Amino acid sequence: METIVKCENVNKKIGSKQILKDVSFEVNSGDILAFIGPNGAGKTTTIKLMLGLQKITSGNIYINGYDIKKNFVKAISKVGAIVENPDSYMYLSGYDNLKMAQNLYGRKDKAELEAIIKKIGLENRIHDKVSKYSLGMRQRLGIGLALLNHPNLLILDEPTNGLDPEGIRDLRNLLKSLAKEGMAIFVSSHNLAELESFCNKVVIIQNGVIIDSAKTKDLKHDVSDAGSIYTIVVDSNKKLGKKYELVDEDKVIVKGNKENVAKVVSELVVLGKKIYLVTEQELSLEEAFLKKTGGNKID
Amino acid sequence: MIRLIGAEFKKVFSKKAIYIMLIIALGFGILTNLIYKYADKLDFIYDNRYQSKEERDDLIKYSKTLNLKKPEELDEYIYNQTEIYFYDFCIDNEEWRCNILTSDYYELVYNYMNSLYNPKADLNKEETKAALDKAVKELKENDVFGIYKIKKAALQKELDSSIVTSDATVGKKDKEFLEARIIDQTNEILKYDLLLEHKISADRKDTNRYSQVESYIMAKTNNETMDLSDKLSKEQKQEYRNNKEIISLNKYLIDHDLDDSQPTVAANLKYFFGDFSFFIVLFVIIISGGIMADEYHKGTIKQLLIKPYTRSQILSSKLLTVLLLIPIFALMVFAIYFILTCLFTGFKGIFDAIPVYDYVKDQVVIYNVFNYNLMMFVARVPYFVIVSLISLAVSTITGSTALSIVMPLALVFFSNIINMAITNFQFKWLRWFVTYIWNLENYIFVRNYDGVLNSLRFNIIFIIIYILVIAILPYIFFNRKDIKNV
Repeated sequence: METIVKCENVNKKIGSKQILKDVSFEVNSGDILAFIGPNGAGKTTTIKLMLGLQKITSGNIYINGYDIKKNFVKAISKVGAIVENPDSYMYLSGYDNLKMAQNLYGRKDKAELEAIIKKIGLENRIHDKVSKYSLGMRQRLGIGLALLNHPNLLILDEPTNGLDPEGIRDLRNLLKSLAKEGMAIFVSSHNLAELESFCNKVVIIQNGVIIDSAKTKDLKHDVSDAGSIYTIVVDSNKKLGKKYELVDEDKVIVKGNKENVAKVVSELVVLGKKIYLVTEQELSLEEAFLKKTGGNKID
Repeated sequence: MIRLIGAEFKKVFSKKAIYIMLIIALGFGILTNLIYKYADKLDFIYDNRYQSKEERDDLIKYSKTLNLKKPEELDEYIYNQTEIYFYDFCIDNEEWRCNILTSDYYELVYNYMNSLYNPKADLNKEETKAALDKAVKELKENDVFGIYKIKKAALQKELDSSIVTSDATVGKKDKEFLEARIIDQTNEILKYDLLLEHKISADRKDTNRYSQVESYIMAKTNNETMDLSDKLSKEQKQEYRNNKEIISLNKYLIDHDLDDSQPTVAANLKYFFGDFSFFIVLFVIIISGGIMADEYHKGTIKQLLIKPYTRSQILSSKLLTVLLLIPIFALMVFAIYFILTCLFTGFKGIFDAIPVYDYVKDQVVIYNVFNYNLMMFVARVPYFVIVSLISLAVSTITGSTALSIVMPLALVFFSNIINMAITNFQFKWLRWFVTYIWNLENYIFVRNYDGVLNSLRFNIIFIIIYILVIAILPYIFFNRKDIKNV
């Protein structure tokens, strides 16, 4: 597993205001890293520092082993990104935007361009001016622009903005397949429910400081107070007595670990209940995030 | 870098702005050609004096209301009677006869009217009438060339008399006065020689050629008279220089029978940069102003900056694009105007000579429409380059399209006033100011210049300094700039 991005003690100050403080994290090949935080936490600033759009006050960022400050061209050469908005030239067609960007990368393969267009699902509208695109279509175009150079690092800032459920599903599948091919993907988003379904790593930032960095699964377990929540579905005919309470007439909810669940199941059988189903409920990423940041709501 | 410049060109030529500017250039070109084509008809409206009976009758009616006992009204009455005489003559006679009467014989008519109505005038009524009648008879009985010969003969007699008198005169002042008169009479005779030699009548169709002869003679007479003086004032020296140009250019036009008032391709296109220079600079400012500021506003600068190019390379590509667009746009507008002019003039005079007076060589240098306009463009290259760089610099540093257009435009608008102030108030310490040094026309064509002229080397050094400073500033700012939220 190769380290694609390495942020080391990155600080950003504007005037006297400290925007980022000692931000450090790594993104490896094959990772889909969710970079999450409340509004104003410093997510977009971090992304801009990674891409050289803003100057680093102190610290280092390495992409593919190259220092972004000292060797920008080499560092950025295998990076694709969408920052804040899917920016493209509105007075050009989608095709012209892609072709122009492809030329800037020194590539001219028409077949490659057609493959990208197919991947982002804009075949029918690619020759229309971008000014006539919906937000979702511009988002797809932005992703296409980011993929043009076959990057090994993809940085996406709010990539699901404006996408319909089908578009979100397609994006999810695309990112998963790209990660499988070894691409490192760095995603910043507020849509934690979506991120949860395909991210393997999470970095949480708050007030310019990284407060946690872990695998998604580990993060949820860490913040859960007493293990998982289990739901046991039983027959509703017989009453349970005082020890257990039925929820929705046929469910018993148990908090704890597997041993607790096994014990409860045994007791229910002794009480004459039939056991139809036992399922484990994990904490959602949003719930885990809120617990970590102490916020009542996201965004 | 080539790829970056290619992308910039693609963006510029995909926008509507350039095509709108070209359509405006087309409209402006059509309007300019129409004005040149029908200018003589416009002249007709203003020069067609003394043809209206209604105007004459109004003048007669008005004159009857004047009180001849009051001196100022008497003067007005005499003037009006002169005018009425002209109306009476011109309504019944050909235009060229009218032109000669009203210009060359004005004094004869006025003297006659003065002698008729002004009891205090020291003029004999019979003598003035006889002189006028004789002149009018000659005018009616001869063709225009016959009139020229008569006038020439009369002038020759006067000249002979002046020479004799001058030879006999001793006093310096009187002698100078007579010498000036001799010069005047000699040149008047030369005027008629030229009119006869080149068969130039006093008709409307020969108005411009007649003016060429008159301008030539007047300038020649003035300079030869000034040659008699020991010392000339600063204004006289300037007038002397101006007259040299008038003498040489008009002599050339007369010798080659060129009527430069006629709309030909060469005649119209001589004024291309005079008419279109501002238009070209406006285009340059608009493109330079938007090439960076628009990218900031639309957020596309982020996409550009995350490509594998340094910021300096990206800025350089925009700078080079702007510089390359100057000659490209100038050529496009020139081509449009050239084609329009050819169509309007019927391709007349494409290769006619454009004479320009060279003050250093003291001779007329001949250009054609292409090399003349090329020289005019080359003379203005520093102007176009500096204005575009200012626009690009403001656009890069401030990110404001409005400022990047307004600031260089303001400099362009006020350049004439600034230069006049530097010249007239002799602010020698401001002779390095950008507007004073950015147009090299006076050096390329070695033109006369009203003010103080820097040396060409001085100008070029300062042009280079300005270009370097204005070009370097955006690099410094752009390389340090944090891209904020759009």
